[in-house]
Amino acid sequence: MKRVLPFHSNAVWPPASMVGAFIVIYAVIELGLSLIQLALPVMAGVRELQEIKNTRAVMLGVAAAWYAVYRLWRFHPACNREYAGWLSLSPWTAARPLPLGPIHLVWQDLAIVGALTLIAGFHAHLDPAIPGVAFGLIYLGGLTCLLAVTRQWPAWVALGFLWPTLALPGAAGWPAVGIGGALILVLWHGQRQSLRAFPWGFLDHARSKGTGGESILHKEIHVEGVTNPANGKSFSVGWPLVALTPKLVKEPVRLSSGFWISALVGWWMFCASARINSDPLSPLVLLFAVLAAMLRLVLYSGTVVPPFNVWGRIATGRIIVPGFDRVFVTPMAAVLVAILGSIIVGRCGSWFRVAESCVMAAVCFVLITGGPTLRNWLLTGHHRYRLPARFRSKTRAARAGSFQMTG
Amino acid sequence: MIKVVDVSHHYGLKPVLSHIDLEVPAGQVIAVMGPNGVGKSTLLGIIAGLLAPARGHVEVNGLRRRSSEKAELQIRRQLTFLPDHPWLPEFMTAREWLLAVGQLYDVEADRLMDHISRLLDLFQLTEQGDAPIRTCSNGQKKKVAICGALVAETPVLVLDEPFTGGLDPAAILALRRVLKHLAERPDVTIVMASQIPELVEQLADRIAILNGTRVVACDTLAGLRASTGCQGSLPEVFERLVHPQTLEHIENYFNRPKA
Repeated sequence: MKRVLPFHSNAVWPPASMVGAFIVIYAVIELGLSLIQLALPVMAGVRELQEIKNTRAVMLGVAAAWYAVYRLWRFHPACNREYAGWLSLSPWTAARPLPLGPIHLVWQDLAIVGALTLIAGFHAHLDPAIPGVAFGLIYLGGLTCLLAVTRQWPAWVALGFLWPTLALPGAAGWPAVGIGGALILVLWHGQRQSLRAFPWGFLDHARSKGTGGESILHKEIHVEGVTNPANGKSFSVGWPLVALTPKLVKEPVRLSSGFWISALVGWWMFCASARINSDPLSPLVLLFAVLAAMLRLVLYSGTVVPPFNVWGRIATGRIIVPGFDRVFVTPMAAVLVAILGSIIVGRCGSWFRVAESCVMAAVCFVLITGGPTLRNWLLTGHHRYRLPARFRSKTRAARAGSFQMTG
Repeated sequence: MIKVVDVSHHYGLKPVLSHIDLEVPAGQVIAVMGPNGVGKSTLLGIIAGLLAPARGHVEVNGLRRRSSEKAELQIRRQLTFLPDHPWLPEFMTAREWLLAVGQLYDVEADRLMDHISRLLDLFQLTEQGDAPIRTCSNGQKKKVAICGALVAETPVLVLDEPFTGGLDPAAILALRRVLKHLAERPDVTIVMASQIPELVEQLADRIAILNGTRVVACDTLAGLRASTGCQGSLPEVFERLVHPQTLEHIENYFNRPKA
């Protein structure tokens, strides 16, 4: 017998507890309002108060958003590692429906969001679009994040350009519908690609837990340098192994990735600037460059310090230590780009938004792709590894507790 | 093989090491001795790659430290460093941590499991090995750290004060025997800092004496005796090289007439 509707789509109905909780909360509020009206005739118009409307709007919006979260969290394999691990061991392929239920929209979703829309429109006297917008934003936003989780970068970058476009002043009415349609198309395509790429690389660890083919060692403990790429968790192997690890997993950012990230930042800057219809934001760009440069320095010098201090530099006449000071070149270049860019922005007239977005992108590009890479720096920089702060107190305690001679 | 070429270092104004040249061929054990605070740990740290020297460089098996990513990673795979105060992840058991260390150095799994069991037996950690490291005493933690240096099975070992830190006599004996055994292998190079002359005498092929930022002597015990003209034990030779006036001071201390 051929089923008219895929049976598994029934699984998307929210659990009774979720529906029950919503009904109880909504009913309690309505009952409270009715009691107030009964007890205090002067409060007859309480249901039309803006505060009450706002409360209802928040409640319906949260209910729709919560349902969107449930849809993704419950049914997307990337949100549930055990489900994904089990799925990867099954004969499932992207051509088949997901066994626990679909992640694409089905008629049950329309029914749920439709019910909330009806409540908003006819009972709560609110804008009926509120539940639909809340659901759509969370559901589509969540899917966008999951594309990043499953490493579908081309689709994710395209969405990174499309989302802020909705904030542009001209993106209202039909243009917004067009952008929304493009967004959904890209998301749909990205999700298909993502499911085709299943099982995803980050599931290796979860998968190895269940198989018998791998060594018992790899089941018990999975170490790859100081960070375990299988589960993304930081794993300290202690001092000094954490500094001298023979497996450094910090891979350099590729030039193409640096370009696209910078382009996205520039585009977001342009859309935000156009949205708030601001004057030139040169000081903001400069501030961003300084903060980002400092962030890069913090990242690079988190575990290392100069081989000798400032007094040592002065005493030996080696004011510049090329092997160490090269870490300052890129941050300084980024700030210089921001300063020069600010001057250019000031001379661009009505094109200032485009110019400042380009400057922002250029600053990001310099900071992301400028040398040395973190890996190169940690391996070849002329620095001194610093005992991490979390080890220092323990080491002091150990020294205090045992009388040892050190050379 | 380890080659220290014209290494000088200072943290601030005061020089710690000046123009140190040292060569440790493969298959040799070299002990670094010197007064407290003379820079032994700094020298070992430079060899181990924890810090870059202000001048000079270090080569390990023909590869120059920090010259390129590839060379540095290759050196790291060939060298383990045991600092005088290691820090171990206290929430893990010793066995788990040793497994992690072995995996970092790509030791084959079955051999690793076997080696860990033998090491834990050797250092009398069989029971403690499966308890969190935080429950270990200082001496037991030091033993675990030593096991970590040995389990990596690297051909180059840099050990800073391996015999201190609360080791019991049995552990000292065990470590001495293990190092002696490793030293017999032609591919293993060991550099260690130690202040215990009896152990240095038994283990080291050569002894490097650091004093006043420089290596004042680096030779076999026989060579040191010949160069100093002192036929006594290593402490006497050491005193002759580092503190020639010590014996005189001792004499003066005991023979000073009472006021």
